[in-house]
Amino acid sequence: MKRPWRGAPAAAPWCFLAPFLALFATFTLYPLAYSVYLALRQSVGPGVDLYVGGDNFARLLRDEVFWGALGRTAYFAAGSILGQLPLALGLALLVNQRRLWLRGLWRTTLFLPVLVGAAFIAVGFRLIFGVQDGVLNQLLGRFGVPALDWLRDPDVVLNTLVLTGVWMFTGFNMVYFLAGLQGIPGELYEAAAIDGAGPWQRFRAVTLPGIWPIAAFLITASTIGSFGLFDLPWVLTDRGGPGRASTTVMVYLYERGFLAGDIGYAAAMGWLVTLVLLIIALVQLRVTRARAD
Amino acid sequence: MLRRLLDWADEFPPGRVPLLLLVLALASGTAVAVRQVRSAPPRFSVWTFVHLAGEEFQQRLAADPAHADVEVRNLGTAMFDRLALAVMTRTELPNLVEIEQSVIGRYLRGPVEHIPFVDLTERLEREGWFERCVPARFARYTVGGRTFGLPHDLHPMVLVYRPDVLAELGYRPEDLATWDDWCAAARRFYRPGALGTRTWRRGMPLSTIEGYTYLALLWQRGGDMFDATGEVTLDSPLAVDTLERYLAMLGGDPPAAGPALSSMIEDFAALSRGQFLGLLAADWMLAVMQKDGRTLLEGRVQIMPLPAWERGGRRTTTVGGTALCIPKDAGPPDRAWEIAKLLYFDHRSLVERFRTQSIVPLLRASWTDPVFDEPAPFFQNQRIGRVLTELADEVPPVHGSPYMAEGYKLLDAVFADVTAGRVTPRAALAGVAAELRARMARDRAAVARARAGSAP
Repeated sequence: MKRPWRGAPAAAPWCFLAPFLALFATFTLYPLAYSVYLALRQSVGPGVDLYVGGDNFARLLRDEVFWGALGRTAYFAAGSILGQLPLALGLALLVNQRRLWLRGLWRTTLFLPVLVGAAFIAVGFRLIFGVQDGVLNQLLGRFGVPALDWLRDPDVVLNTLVLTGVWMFTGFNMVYFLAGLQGIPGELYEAAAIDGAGPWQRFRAVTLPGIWPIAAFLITASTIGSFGLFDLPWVLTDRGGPGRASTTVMVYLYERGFLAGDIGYAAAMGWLVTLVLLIIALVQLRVTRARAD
Repeated sequence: MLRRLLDWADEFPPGRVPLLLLVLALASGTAVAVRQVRSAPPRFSVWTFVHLAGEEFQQRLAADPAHADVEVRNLGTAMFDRLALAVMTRTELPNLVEIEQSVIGRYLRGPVEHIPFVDLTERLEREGWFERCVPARFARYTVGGRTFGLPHDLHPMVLVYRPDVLAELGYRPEDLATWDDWCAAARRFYRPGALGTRTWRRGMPLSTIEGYTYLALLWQRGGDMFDATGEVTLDSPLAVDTLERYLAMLGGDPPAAGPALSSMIEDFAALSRGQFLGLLAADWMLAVMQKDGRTLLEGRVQIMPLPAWERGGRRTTTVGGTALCIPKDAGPPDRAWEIAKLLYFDHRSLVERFRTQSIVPLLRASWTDPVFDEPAPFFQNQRIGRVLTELADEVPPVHGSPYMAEGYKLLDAVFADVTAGRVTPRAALAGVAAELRARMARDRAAVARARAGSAP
């Protein structure tokens, strides 16, 4: 009998991989390669496009606004990690308690903020952070705290973004920690209790090592997410204001690439941020591996 | 037949199910591709970023069967990036697009012949639109002496005030003819107190973190960020002096103005409580006020022309604006031009636009419509349309530039430092101007290199 698929075994994997490879090449490899091409060029309107070599990168290294934006983004990332992760772990420990009343409702409620778009959150939070009639200042005023200009004081506004980020993403991180906590075998706690370990010792010796891989992942994911921060400062603080006080690196990239039309410069900025993130991720990986070992 | 097919499928090395998946993937992919090809794009498309405009355009075009093939799409503010990509790739361009004045510059870069919109100058001249409209408004959409946008709006700015509070202070609106008069009244009105309390009183809110109010006042005085040739004038003596006077309003002893609050609603609330004597508002903001500030201000406020910088000087300025542009590569422009005029200069539409959005039209002939003499209950039955149209010819020109959006952003970036006293007005404006000139010089050098056909 003639075998219709003769020769197919060797080609079959490629047949199945072909759709993915085609999509990957079109939507990932090509844009990446094209952004490298753009980073080496200068365009002036749609009609002028020149090769400028590494000029965009050289200008970027001298651009104080870029480094300022990078610093603020790093501040937001650090603030988010330090604010969100301990709180998320605490909440996860709380909603992991079997005896907690309405446990499912708490879990859902805490997770909800991440489902709301950042732009909607920003609009809602304007009512909370208003200097004159904002809910937060009204509340603080009852305790004699003077009104803060949460959205327009350059010394305060970045912390306002961190606070909003904590509100948005703590519940999301809590779910990861909850999954980690539920993956720790109960026998370990029992054995520790038999050995006379108290609650704090059980937390240190059993819980923390058990959730460490999750924490390491969340630190890396939060860092990468923070460097992509765009919509919150764009809407909540009027495109990264006041002045440059909440201009993150993505806000600046958008400003240069799309408002100013300097696409080559924006592409170079994107690659430099990628490099910075890569270095941070490698350092984090080394630290977390060393700790795991 | 089926048996043979099954046998044949059985021979497929990974098995029958993977083969079925492969066939399904290919079939669905083909179906999607065919559907894409069949659903041909509309013959004529109009893009806008304003919800109300989208609805209005749709209604106006639906009334005329000749325009049954026109599709109006409201893409929100994402439209600007989408248009930029469409211009770059020359694909999926709309036939007509409505653009906001502050961002139009990004499409006007490079040599005039490469600007992706149709040059409307000759059509505007030939059909007499410069004379039939307020010509100053075309300046914003003009680069290198050529006009690329058709505006419809004037956006004159006025002062909204509470007549009872002003009367209590012993003033009539006609007493406040200059900013000096205003400042004197505002200083009498002043009460100290920290933000967040109900005790403070200030003349009016001025932004301490963004430059738009300063620029509006600079335009009123005849200054600008750019001149008619596109050169930077933000560091001119007039611009510096205006910023110094702006700071003097905010920082005098006592101050004649206070920092703008966190949102328009907070400003409206402060005006309603008698904490501000007045608010600066362009025509479109009066509609926002009637919608969002109804419970706070309805029947309690009126409008008056802005005080002038010098006695007998200009009593208004302007903020905002949109224009219709015709992308060059989207096909023959004649029909787009006719539709643009229909959408922006149709008398019924202009009247309706004033009724719903308080927008004063650019077209002089429309100002005689009775709608502009209708009393407005929100403003104590004042004929606000007439107040606004009487200011129409005083609306100052704002010169367009491809670098306008960058200029706004650079000014905003230093403005908080200026109002906080960390940098002098002269140094701040000189810094912004120098940065703008550097970017312009770099672009000009690139254009020169491209024309010479050489790389660096």
